[in-house]
Amino acid sequence: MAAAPPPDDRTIARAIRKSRLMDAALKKHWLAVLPHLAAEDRVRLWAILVEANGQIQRGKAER
Amino acid sequence: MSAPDQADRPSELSQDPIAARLAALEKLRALAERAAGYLRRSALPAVRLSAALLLAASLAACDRAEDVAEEVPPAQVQPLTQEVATGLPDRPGRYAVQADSVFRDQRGVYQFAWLEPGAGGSQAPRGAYASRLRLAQGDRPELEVPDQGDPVLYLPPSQPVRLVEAGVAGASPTPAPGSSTTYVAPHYPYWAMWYPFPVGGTGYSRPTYYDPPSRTVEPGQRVDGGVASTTPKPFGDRVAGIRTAVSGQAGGTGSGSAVTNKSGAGGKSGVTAPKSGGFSSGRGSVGSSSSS
Repeated sequence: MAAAPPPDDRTIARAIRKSRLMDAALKKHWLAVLPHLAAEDRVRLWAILVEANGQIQRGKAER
Repeated sequence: MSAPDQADRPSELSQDPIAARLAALEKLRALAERAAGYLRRSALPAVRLSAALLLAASLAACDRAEDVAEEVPPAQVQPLTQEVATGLPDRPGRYAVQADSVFRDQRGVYQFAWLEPGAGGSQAPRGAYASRLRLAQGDRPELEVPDQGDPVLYLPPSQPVRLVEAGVAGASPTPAPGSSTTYVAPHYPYWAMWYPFPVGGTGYSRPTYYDPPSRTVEPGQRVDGGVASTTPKPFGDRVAGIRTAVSGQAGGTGSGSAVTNKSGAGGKSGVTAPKSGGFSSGRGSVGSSSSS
């Protein structure tokens, strides 16, 4: 089965901006390096953001 | 394209948002380190600079998250379930209290060292724990044990009560019945100074029950004055504590420890009851609830 294609930079950048995990400074630096990241690191970054966002949503729902 | 790492699996830490956030920030930090490894060789100076800044910001974010995870808010301290009175004199009277020996833990249990009258320097001070203790301003640190009612601790304006975390002092051996035990001064890494009767304040001359004016204090903070009441507050309302922001070890060699959320595994209860045999035998016992 073919792996799902990684999201494009625009999608990852949107996830960074919307992330509740990072403060403004950290977001700014990730956005700055994003175009220069290796492909597998883009995938890793996307996975971390998605998981963290999911945990935040679950935490909200449990309250 | 490779799938996300197995390390990115949904985490059981989602039950603890603080721990989950810390774990996610650690993953970001690790990714930042990995990316900085090749970005620092970029031909573009701006990219090299961004990589360095990214790494620094990632480390700082992890540090801040760790500090939050290790705080001990007083709300998480378990209040007393019964009164504590151990090591107090067994006869009514006035007893000198050793200067700078007075502590109060987050649950509202006082501990201090007192001296037998006439002992001078020849006898070791004796340690006591009491949750129902009235305070009053006096000329010197002194304990009054009345015929009836709760004991009174007199404190001059210069004498602080050290607010500490845990309720167990330095270990001392269980004494044989009728014998005395040398008081072992408690050792706490963090405390705040509470002056119930500061200079220039309106210290009550009549003994009353006192609590710190704020529920949370920072290590090293000075707290002046207090909230007086004619009757002891309910156990839950006596919780007023020191918040530490470093990895939690309780003061003292007892079994109390600071609650941490770092691993999401809930940590031990923040305080434990003092051992009743820890000091010289005297009046009182754990669990007594004398009325005033």
